[in-house]
Amino acid sequence: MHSPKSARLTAMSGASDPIVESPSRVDRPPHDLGGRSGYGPVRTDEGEIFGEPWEPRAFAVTQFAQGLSEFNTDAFRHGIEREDPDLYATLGYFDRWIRNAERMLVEGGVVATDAVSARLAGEEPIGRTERTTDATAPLGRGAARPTSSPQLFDVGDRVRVLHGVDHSGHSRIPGYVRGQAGIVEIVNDSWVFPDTHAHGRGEEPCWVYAVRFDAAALWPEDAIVAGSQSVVVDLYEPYLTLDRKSD
Amino acid sequence: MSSDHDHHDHGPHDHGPHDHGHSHAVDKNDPSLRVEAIESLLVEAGLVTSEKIDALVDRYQHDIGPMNGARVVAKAWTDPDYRARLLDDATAAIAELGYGGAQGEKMVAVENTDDVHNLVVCTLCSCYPWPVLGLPPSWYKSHEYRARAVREPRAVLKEFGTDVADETEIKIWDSSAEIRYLVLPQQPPGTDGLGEEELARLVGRDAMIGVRLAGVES
Repeated sequence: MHSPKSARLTAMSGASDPIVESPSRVDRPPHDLGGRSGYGPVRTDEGEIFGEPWEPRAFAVTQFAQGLSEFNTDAFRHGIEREDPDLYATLGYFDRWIRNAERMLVEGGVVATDAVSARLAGEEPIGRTERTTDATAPLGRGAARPTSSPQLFDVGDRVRVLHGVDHSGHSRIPGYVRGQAGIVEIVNDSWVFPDTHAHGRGEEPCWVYAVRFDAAALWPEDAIVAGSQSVVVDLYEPYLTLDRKSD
Repeated sequence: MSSDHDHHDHGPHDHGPHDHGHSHAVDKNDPSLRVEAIESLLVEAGLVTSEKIDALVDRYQHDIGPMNGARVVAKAWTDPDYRARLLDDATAAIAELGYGGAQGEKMVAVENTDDVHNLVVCTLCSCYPWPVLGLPPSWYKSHEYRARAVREPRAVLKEFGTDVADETEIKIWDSSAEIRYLVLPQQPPGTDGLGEEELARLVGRDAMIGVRLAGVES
């Protein structure tokens, strides 16, 4: 695996890319949960937004930590995704957030590497920051961007999602649609590209398409009647190739 | 969280910055302590104030929530022109009521009909339309919902007590980019004479995610 810094979106193709398995079983990072089996009932009774008394503050502190660290939304998400895989599976949602707050503050140079652990150990932290910037709302700027790049696909086009994608960096391709073909349902404007933006490699604005997949094709082993169930996924143009132009 | 709260044999750490009765045996994995540690570091460095943190918490606990989305839905039920605008450009139609911003930069409204039932999920994290629904409920962020909603939606809907006819297509929207989806539920039968405010009370959060029908929120 490459380090996140050198991660690139790499499409493998042809003979080296046999589709031998349902995409739900292809090796996937822990946060990429769509379609995985082995999960029990949804706890429909857990309708509250915060479960534990400390969670509201974890939410707010993490928001400020993101702003202070100057992590954009994609780098924020990638921070969560870099959690230890076993911990990702077992920690609660806001526990993953507050650990990401520490990760962002350290990597952003706002606090010293051991400042939080020192404080947890009851010691005074060393290497305290000298910055005096005030925290601001981290999510103000948004991600929509105009692009001069031509829009390659239109509503009705049949497109295929890249199959072999390097997942060592940030990506927003749900694993269950990798290698699958679907129909463009909506052209959803142009946006910063998470795969570069998360790693400080620029915004690289690109078109986003809502692509509709027939669930019976995604999970052929399941008893799903074709047309009775579909999944629409928002996909960035670099994730897609043209399968068939609409008539 | 910590199972060591009652142990008092860790003497040297009495000077911990936040003595909440458990500063002696610090469980470094206790998330509540990590929150306190980070907040105190930032506050002491002058980077943020506790008042600002309180204000942000308050905003998302009280000012932003599903009542916003319910107003949008109720207006769409009573005003055909608004409904058309909502389905054509949801971002603009929602902004007419004063809602927009972070995690709602571009909104798309998806309409439930006799033929199609829509359901929203984020399989990669927990993307959710904050300006109209507030922050997501715990179950929406759970691994169970994220894993299963795209693959066995009828089973998931049943767990919410929602039955969708076999002939109805279930369409799941996996919000994997920055576009956020709002389900426009079907208006409950027998409510045609009601005004917008009364109708808004029938529109629960779960109906706008698509796991329940309007008027039957638990």
